[in-house]
Amino acid sequence: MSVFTEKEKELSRQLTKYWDLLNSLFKFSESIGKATSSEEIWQKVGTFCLDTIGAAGVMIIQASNHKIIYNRSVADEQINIPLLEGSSVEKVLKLGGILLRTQINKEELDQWGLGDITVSAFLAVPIKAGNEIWGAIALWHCDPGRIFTNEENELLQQCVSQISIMLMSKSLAEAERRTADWRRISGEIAHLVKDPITLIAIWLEDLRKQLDQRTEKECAKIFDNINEKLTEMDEAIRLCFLFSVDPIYKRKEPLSISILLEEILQEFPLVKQQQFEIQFDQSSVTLRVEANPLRFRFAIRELLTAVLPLATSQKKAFLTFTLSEDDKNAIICITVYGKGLNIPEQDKKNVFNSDFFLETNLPGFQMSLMLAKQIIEEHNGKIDEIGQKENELKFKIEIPVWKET
Amino acid sequence: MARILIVDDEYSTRTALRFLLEEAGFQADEASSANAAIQKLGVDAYDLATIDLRMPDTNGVMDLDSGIKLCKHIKENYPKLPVIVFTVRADEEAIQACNNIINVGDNYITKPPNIKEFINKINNALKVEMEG
Repeated sequence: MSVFTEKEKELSRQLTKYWDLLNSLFKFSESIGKATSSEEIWQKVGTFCLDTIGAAGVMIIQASNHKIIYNRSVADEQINIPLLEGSSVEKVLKLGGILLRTQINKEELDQWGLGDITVSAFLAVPIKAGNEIWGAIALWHCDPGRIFTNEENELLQQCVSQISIMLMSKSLAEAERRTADWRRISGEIAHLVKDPITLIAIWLEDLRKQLDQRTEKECAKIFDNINEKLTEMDEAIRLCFLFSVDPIYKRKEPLSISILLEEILQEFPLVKQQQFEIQFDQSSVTLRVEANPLRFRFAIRELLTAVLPLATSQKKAFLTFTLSEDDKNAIICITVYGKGLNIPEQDKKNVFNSDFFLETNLPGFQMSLMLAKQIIEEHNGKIDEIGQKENELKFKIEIPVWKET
Repeated sequence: MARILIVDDEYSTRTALRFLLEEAGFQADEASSANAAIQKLGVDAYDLATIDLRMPDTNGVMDLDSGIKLCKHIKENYPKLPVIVFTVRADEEAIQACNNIINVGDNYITKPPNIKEFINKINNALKVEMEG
């Protein structure tokens, strides 16, 4: 009998786990074909992820440039399972999946505490709703290169793999965007998966069929075109899990400054560790925050992220939130400045419309403004664009104050 | 104790399969290529071989050639040796190419392997060989 090192035992256990997971994915992919709506799919996906791997995270990656635009994964919930030896197209194909090659730079990975791991690939299994291809469920691999070699220290590097979802096409996404009750769906999913499931993006089953019928060299050529095709999915990806339910904004009663601040700070553990200044005086509170906008996405979400899509063209965005309380009018004024995008004059009147999209490759959810407006109005507040100077955009948000006694 | 030769170019797969087989009570050996397998078959006696049909050629390109070459070698030199092949899902080409040489029948496993199915197929193949 062979003598196995601990590393070999661990490798075997994890690879077996990975095979089981992949087989579960294929089985799930077949079963979900009976779903008749996207809502049903979301629910099934959430349940599946919980049942299969316990948890993951919610992540959205912009397809055109693979930038992470939303991530709610939790580091200690990441799943460490082994990948393929190497990560060549051929070897992924050997597992019957579809490889999408992507690359995310180190700086972005650092944002998520993934160190110097390089995200290089994910494996997708298509899913259908009725007869329509709805999207794909994907395992996302952070692959430092060759995961498993004979070198024991290579094994330690491991890969991180998360479950992801990608919507199918721009038109499908557009239909979903217009019809789905995203806040409710995301709430249900958030409930299902708690906090984390990773979402990415998709693949096409017809492509898979093509791949099945072609030689691997031909497949490799197809892969070369993938990124081009994925650019069509920008809008789709923006759609996925646009918003999670935020306890702050679920509340219908007006907010007080102190509660708002308290809750923002709770949502801001990362920011607190960075540059974060807060100044109080008798009638106003000024929050001055300088941090990478990707981190902001974790926290402020709907209301305060309203401007983030407009602020992400620079690596370091600079946002200033000025909260002031006007005793007389009992109004909280939050002035939000975003840098990075210039909205054309003719589009300004439309920025709060649900179908407002800018022709841009900037990561971000361009429905944010519409939703932010919706949220603010739920609080009997209002949001107005109050100024634009070059690449700086300024909004004023007014929310009635809940007077503390 | 049945002795099984695992032929697969991937180190991780070979290691995991060997580990699983030994946990299941088999004795397992590895070969990372068709040529390595041919050498091992010439030295030691095996009761069954598992072969990954698609392995890299000398240029590193994945193809069926080396797997098929190994199947031919086994048919010519060890005609009674049961073989279980690994294929990609829906890889009819590989199955057909293999069936043209040896009768694979149900003795193929699609990747990623279902371990229970894998062990069952090995037991069945060994049983058939013993009864034969």
